[in-house]
Amino acid sequence: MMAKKTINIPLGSQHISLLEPVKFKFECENEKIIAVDSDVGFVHRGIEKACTTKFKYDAVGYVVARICGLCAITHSLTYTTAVENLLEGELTLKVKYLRMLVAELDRIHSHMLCLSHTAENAGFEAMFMQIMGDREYVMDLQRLLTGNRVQFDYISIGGVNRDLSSEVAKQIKINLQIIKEKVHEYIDEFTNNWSLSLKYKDIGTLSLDEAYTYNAIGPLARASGIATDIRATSDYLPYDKIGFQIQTATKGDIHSRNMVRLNEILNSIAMCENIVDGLPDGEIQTKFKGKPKGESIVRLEAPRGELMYYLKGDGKAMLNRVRIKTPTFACIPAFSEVFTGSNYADAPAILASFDPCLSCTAK
Amino acid sequence: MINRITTQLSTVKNDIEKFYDKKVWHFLTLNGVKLDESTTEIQWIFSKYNNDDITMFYTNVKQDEIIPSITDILPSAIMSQREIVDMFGIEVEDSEKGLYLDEDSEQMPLSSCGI
Amino acid sequence: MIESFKKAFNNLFKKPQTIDYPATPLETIKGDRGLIEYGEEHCIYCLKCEKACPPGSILFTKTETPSSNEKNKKSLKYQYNQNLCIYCGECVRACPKPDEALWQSDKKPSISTRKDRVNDAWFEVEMLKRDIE
Repeated sequence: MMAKKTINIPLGSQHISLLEPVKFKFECENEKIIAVDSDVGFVHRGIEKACTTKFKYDAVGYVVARICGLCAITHSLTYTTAVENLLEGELTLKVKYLRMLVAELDRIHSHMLCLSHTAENAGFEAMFMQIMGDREYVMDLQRLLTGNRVQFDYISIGGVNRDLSSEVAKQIKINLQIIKEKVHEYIDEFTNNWSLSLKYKDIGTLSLDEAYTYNAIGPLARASGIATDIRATSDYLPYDKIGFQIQTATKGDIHSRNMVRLNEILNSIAMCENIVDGLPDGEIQTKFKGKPKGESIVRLEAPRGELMYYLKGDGKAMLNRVRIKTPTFACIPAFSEVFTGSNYADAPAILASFDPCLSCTAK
Repeated sequence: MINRITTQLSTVKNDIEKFYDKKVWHFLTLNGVKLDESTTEIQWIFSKYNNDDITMFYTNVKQDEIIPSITDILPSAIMSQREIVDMFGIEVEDSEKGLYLDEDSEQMPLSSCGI
Repeated sequence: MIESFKKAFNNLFKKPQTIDYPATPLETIKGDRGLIEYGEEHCIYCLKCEKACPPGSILFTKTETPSSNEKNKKSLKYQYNQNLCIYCGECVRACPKPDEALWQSDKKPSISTRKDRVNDAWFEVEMLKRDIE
């Protein structure tokens, strides 16, 4: 009897369908993957060390926003909330509403990027170009509101940097109405197209029990059936007043993850319209006194999952310890579990549906 | 509110096994804070699934001790354990070096900050 | 599937969405974040903008030819690096006279070439700053 031979094939750090610098080494036997070895850390820049030696506590919010390009505003918002817990002061309600508006606009454009990349890896190039063209409506809104398309620099300690004028509010409602109709067309296309369903249904499944064992978070966990979302329980930002609803699915394959992301875009559009209609009056900046002393832990929901910051200060201008836990970093063992047992030809489509962000992982 | 529970290196695996229930608690991460020249505080942070309660097990560790590994209870802890080996230079069972740093870069960068 | 055929047919006759820069110049909107501009006559030399800047792109150095402003007691001069600036506007928020001495316009930075010696000139300014401290 001959022993079965296995071949090592890398989905390397350079690949024609890969957007991120990650390396997976697959051990394959006749087209099925039986073992996975992963390597992250190609873009390590030493940000945790820089935040405690080179920058003072009021400048760290701008440093941390440059960890990632897609979830930049969530890093800045989580750090600022954690530092405000260690200082003395009080935020107005208008500031909280404006912070939520910017975070939800960021979530819409990040989910549209992930959906277009998943469609491209299944071979449907026309849908990739269509979704990227419609994403320009959201980028125009972000440029009108904050001055820039990608790196906003909108949040500082004690408030936000710009106010919402009435012309910008009118333009927000016009553009969001256009995007809502387009998203209904995408839901129709992703559900009923026959050749896409061959690539997406029952492929890359993560069952409910495996999701509990491997501590999955974000849309990966919600598509398998765990109803976990920080926006449902957090008391830093009043999400229950603007109509937040948690979206889940049950099967855990690629089709369920796409449906969860599409439904989250519709919910975010409804929340943005409620914010613009019901914005209270008030100041946009209040003064916070003192230097950071003590320790605090804050968690918020980024587009890819749950983000956690741990801060420790002892009364000086430089912080003592900044610990950042990003969503993709915690999910890498779950990714390896999904790859084991699938066909090698489905690997690019599965990887694109996870939505990895490697700049966040290798800080 | 953070609920801090102290523990020892020899009993931390039993404490976590008795405490952890996979449908109620969610493992966040493993963290290290440098207290002075030779002592580091290692923290295991957990939170409830639909709540804001945070529970933290912590202990003080010297530079040459070996931390036990909890990957047979929590398979997703392997990433945080490899990061502690790289950043602080403290050995953990079953976790190898080389997640972020190469051989010719500065070793153990976080073992000298915060003092 | 009929719908996607119809949409693909209509897309044949539409213009492309990309802008062919630099043949077509970029348009600027009123609220864009741009260069920081300085009005020397109103400045009171409190140095709050230098302490507030996150990357350190505003520095005040000693000069032999000070201006005729009577608040300039230590003979300082304002230096600004447009390539290190992140256009966040923290300096404008920290200034006590925000629309007269320091404000943010919507002009884009100019393109530098190798002859301008951008990095070496700024390293010399930082050396001057370290010598007086």
